[in-house]
Amino acid sequence: MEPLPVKGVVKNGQVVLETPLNLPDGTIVTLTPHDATQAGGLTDSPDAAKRKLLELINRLDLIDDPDWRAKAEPDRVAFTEKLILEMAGMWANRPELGDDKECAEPARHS
Amino acid sequence: MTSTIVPGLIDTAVLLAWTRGHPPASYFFLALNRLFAPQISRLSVIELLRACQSDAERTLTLQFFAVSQTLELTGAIARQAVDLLTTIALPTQLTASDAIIASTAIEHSLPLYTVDPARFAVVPGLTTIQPY
Repeated sequence: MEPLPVKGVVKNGQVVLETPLNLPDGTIVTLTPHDATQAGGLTDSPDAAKRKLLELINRLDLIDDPDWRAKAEPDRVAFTEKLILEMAGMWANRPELGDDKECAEPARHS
Repeated sequence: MTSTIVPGLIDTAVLLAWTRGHPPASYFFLALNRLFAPQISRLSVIELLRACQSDAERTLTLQFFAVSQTLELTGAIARQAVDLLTTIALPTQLTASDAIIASTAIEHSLPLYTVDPARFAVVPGLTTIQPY
């Protein structure tokens, strides 16, 4: 059976749904805890991604700041710029790599 | 180089050109980064990780992803890619990866930065920008 596209929160031991279910009375349903790391796909939760970014740019002091993104932006730009220059040509001088060879040119890889 | 840089999804080939030392690709990334965090598909993350050949390369690549905005692969994007490959005129040069990247751009209402706009010209509703 398809999972129900409905979220809720537990309050005082009861699940409170965001929106009412369009199911007949008496329908038995199964609840599973929400996994934030799976909900968005294959990546970190937003909080984990934020922490990783702030760690990298050495601005963990902004972790609880509601305006963290704007305040961290100059450091993000500077860090990424350094990374862009460091990674530019990173693979240029490697030996040819079989089916990866076409990547040596700025053409479509896949 | 484009005269105006706008937010857009960056195709895997542009990322590969940059890491392969193509100077215009590096200049593009530098210019874009001053305005926005690079937006890339999770598929491009996978493709770049697959191309890494050492721990050092992988470390730098993962750092780059952490400071970028990664757009996830979702069921809606997968369905759109299937719809696209079901309906476009054949024969086509569009690969499965192209279809996923194009669908990601459409799903997020973003233009696609690509070095090969002609390849994506068959995709309805997709705007492409040649980055350099």
